[in-house]
This record gives sequence, C-alpha cells and structure tokens, in this order.
Amino acid sequence: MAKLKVNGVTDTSGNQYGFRNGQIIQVRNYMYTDIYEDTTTSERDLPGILGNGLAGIKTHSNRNHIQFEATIHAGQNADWRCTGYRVYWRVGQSGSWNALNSANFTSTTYIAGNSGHSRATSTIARFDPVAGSSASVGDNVYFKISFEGHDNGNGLHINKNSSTNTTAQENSYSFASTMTLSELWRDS
Amino acid sequence: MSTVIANAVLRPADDKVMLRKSGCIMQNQQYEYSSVYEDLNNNNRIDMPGDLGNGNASITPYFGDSKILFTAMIHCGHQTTWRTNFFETFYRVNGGSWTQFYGGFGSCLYSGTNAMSQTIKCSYLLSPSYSAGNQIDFKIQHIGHANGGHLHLNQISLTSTTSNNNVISAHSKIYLQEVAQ
Repeated sequence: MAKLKVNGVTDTSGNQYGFRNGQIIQVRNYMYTDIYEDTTTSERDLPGILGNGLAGIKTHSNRNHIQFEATIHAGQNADWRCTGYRVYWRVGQSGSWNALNSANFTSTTYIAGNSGHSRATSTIARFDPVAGSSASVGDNVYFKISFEGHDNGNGLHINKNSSTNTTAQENSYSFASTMTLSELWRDS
Repeated sequence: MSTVIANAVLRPADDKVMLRKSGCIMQNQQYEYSSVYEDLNNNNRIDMPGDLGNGNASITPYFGDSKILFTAMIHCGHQTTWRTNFFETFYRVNGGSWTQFYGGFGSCLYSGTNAMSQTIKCSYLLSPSYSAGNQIDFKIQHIGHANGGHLHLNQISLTSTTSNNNVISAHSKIYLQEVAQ
C-alpha cells in the first residue's frame, strides 16, 4: 500500500491540523458494571478491570503522553462512607507499579440513618510515561486503581444505588464505573 | 517542505475519516496544586493558592476560532461539623482584565467526623473572544459559606484528625483543552 509522507496538513483556509502537540489520537475505555462491596480499611485494588492491571493503551511513539480519566460511583450504607483512590501505572505486564499521584481522588457519601444513596466522583490527569521508565514505541502502558476507606466510615459499595432505604445489592440505574485512557501526540 | 491541503483525510477502502480538524482536541495543559491549604476566612472571596489562582494556568490556542474545554478538579477536605465552599471561574486574554464565566461550582461536606474528603470535577466548554496567538489565562476564586465556609484544600486523611495531611498525595488542578472548530 502506498504511503504519503508530509510535514503538515492544512485545511483550505490555511490552518494547519493533523497531529500537533497535545492532540488526542486514540481513546480506550474500560468499564465495570457489577456491584462490589468491601469493608476493609487497608489499601486494596479495585475489582475487575479497574484494579486488575489489564486496562492498557499502546502508544504510537515513545514521545507521546497519556491522559488518564476515571469515574467511580460510590454507594453508601447508613450513615456514611469516605474513600481515597490511588492510581498506578507501569509499562508492560511485569515490574513494579508507579504512583500517578496527580490522578488520585476521593469520595464521600453521607446521609444520616438512610441507605441506598450514591455519588459519582471523577478525576483527570496528564503524564509522560517515558519519564523515569524505559517505555518504547508500541509498548503497552497499563493502569490500575486502588482504594482505602476512612477508619470511621470505611466500606466500598461500587455501583450500588437504590431509590429506597435498603442495603440490598441493587444497581437500579445501570451505573458503570469507568477508566478512560487517551494518547496525546507530542512532536518532541 | 511538502504540505497537503485538505479538509479531511479519508482512507481509500471505505472513505472513513482518518483525520479532520473540527471537533478534535488539539492540545491540553495541566496546572496543579498539591500542598494542603486552609483558609478560615469564611465568607470572603479570595484567589485560590498557587497555579489555581495566580493566573499561571494558560493555553495558547493553535487556531483563532477554537473553543476551550475548561476542567477544574478540587479536593475538598473537611472538619466537623460541615464545610460548604463555592468556586468562581475567570479568564483573561493576553493579560487583560479578568472576565468571570459561567463555570462556577460548589462543594458541601457534612459529618461529625473529621477528615472526610470529596473530589469535585466540573467541565465547561467556553467560546472566548480572542485572536490566533493570544494567550488565555484562567483562575479560580473561592468563597465559603458564612456559617461553615472554611476551606481545607487537599487535606485528606483516612482517620478522624484535623492534621494537615494529604495521605493519598492528591493534586487539585486546572485542566485546559483546545477543541478545534
């Protein structure tokens, strides 16, 4: 197949477009729709694709950056739940995980004496996967999220929501907690 | 230098668009603040600390007609009994005067326990008036509720404490993206 190599693409008004610094050139989305509950207070990985380390994106250049986004639907049993979320990344499926502190986030859901409530929380961060690593062109960069509950209001209830005062495992409104990875083009 | 002039680039098999300008996110900029910051002035309107409020958060669009997707992410901590804060958003073009835009948001935490925290993230698509090559700066101001308006930015603990901890090392930020038209 023939390939056309050029240094730039412009529209008919003369504006350059095509790959420029910061342009999003691919997006990967991962979602978790089950209900998951956990009452431990120590740090643990989130369930499924959110925490098993298999959510990844393959970059087209070792210069490119990655934009990380996540949304968690934090349910609640009376009275309240408070959770911190930490984000980690690594190149390939082996080696140690690196902290992406810039993307860490929290949730608090509080209604006195009543259960079934839910609140969405989300995060966004941009980072360079090459800095401090040996990432190469075509490497997969993987991500995972961990969680840790407050000592006095621990308990994670992902995707649990109900319009009645219940602790039942209902996802009445089809919530999905998600992770979205985007590759950002960099000239250099 | 060779340059192809086109409004879209299609692949030959099915004319699927491989490259176009309209609607693409062309660039993004990130400005962060990771220290713990407390303001106990309640009902006074003041700039947020660091790059969140000093005007350093900026983007220079590639095109003169792009829109700007403004995203703010604020980690609001808490001390008993409750905390409510409001955040107002501003931009300026080429160092001019600040213009407030409809991008404000609020946070509310209520509990008898200390150190709860809530991440607030809001996005707004703006159409500021500017010319190609102009730099657009952004800042956030906050004002607390008169009866519970202390701000505990990035103050995050997982125990009941009023200490200035950020145990998960979270960063509050302004995140700017250029959306081509």
